[in-house]
Amino acid sequence: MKKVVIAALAVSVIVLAGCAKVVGPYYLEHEEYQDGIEILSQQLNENPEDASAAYYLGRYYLALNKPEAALPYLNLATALEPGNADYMFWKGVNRWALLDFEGEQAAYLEAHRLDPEHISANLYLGHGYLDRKQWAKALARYDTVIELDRYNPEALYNRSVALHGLGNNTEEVAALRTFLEYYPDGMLALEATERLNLQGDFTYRNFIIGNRNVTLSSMAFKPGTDELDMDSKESLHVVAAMMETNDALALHVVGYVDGDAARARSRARAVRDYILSGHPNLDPARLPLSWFATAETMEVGASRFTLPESVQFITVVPQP
Amino acid sequence: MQLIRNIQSWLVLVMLATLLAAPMALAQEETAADETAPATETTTADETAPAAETTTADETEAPAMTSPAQAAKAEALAEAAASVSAEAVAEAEASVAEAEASVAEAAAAVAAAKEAADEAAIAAAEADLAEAEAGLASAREAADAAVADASSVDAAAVSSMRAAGMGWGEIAHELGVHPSTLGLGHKNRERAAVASMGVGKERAAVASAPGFGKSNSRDVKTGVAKTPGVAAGQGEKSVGLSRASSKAKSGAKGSESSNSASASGGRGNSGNSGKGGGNSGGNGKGGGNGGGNGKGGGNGKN
Repeated sequence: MKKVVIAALAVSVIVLAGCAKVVGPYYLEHEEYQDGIEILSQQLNENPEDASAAYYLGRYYLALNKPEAALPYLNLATALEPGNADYMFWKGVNRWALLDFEGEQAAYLEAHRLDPEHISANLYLGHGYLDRKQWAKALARYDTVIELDRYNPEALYNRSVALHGLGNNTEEVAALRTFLEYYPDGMLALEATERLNLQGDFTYRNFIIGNRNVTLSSMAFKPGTDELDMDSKESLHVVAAMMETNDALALHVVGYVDGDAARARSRARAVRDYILSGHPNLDPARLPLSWFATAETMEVGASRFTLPESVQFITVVPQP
Repeated sequence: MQLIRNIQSWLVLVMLATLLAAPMALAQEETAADETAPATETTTADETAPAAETTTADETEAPAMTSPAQAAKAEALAEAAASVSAEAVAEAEASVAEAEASVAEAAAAVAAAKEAADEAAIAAAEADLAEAEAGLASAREAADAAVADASSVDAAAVSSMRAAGMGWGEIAHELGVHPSTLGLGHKNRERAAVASMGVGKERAAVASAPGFGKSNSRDVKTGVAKTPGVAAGQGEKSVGLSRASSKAKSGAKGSESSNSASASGGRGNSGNSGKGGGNSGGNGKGGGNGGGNGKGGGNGKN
């Protein structure tokens, strides 16, 4: 009896090991696409009705940037298993990679019909509508994605693009601020910040810190005081960390308060003091202060704004 | 005698008066002492010392710049210096691409020589390959240093980003040291294009490489929304606000950064739970397809 059980287990392991549903994800996760193609091609030859093997072969070829090679496999997978929303979704991605945008949309719509809560199908449908400048449809898809995946970065950012397309500047600003709250750095944050600034909102700003463009929360103080708020302090942690890493980095801290030089000065000092407070090794001389009893003039793209109260960081460029 | 009695009476009266007056005088002295000492301390602590500090700061610390025009000039100088640095980063990145091409070419030559079974050619091709590989290693090192120097991010953190699968170009874009990113939010730049790339304008297949700053590219590897910013760089606040902000999130459901602490680099949480919130290995609803595909990545109905 014991031998029979062991034999049954061994057969099970062999069957499972040969199953595309088991081995397929492995090669995807480890990005061993070529090995996966070799293994699953054999399986598909042995069992031409294996939808899973066809699906993974399509995925491997797509990942290798070979959408033409992927096409027959994903077509086969969806033909063999037409009720599988994932297979249909990836057929859509395959069509996009082949620049067949109508085919792409049709596949996502089918995936969505099969599974209305398919996050990726909703997301890429939104992307397609955005490409076509169908702003309202795009917005609806992104809202669905956010209901299913609250912090989805592409949906959060693209909501703002769709709202811009719809001419809804107020909600666009709110959407940009939400995106920046959750994803405050990287290329998209730089773009989001510029777009926010272009709308006259300076909650976030891009500063050249050293040789880098960095998104930071604008320095904000409790009303009538020099006390920094929490978001400002977090931004100063970034600045301090950059200064710790780069000994050569020095920054002008420039305070502006329209009509109040003393306040402008004390705020610039408060910023410097906060940076230095947790970093005793930093030389205060690396943070020279300036202050002006005027509003700061900001130029973003072709637009000009004035900020009655602000603190600006300007990298000190050593004189030759 | 009468005189003596009168003197005694006066003396008694004086003594009595003295006895009565002494405690009051002592009490008054103590009161005066109590009131005076704190007043002196207060004067010293509240007025003298801060006055000295204020005097130092006010009188000795002159503003580094004397006019907003000077600040604007300094800002323009900083932008120009960053542009020069960005060009150096782009050149380092190009050198890596060139070195990679040389390695691929040398490897192909080795393969061809082996196929021809030409021993002399194999030896020569292998030597070329070794040289090309050394060149690539050197170019990678230089690119690491160029990106780290330009970004004020620790070189080890940059290496960890590369280990997480990011290329130099992607790292340079995401850290804001690439020429194309420097102008964002500054005056020397055209207005940001907010419209999407448009149908058919770009070969879609390039999206398996990172879509720098594109929010509507399709990911042909994972099918999941890309997490903005750089991967890895664990706990390195110099990377940017995502590492310092208490409100930052780690990415979409199913994204690598939401499932792996090392990939997220210490960003905030993603709220990655519930239906559809799967790991890239595939679990959840119908659990099946991996590689971060499907519903929120990694979920499928098989």
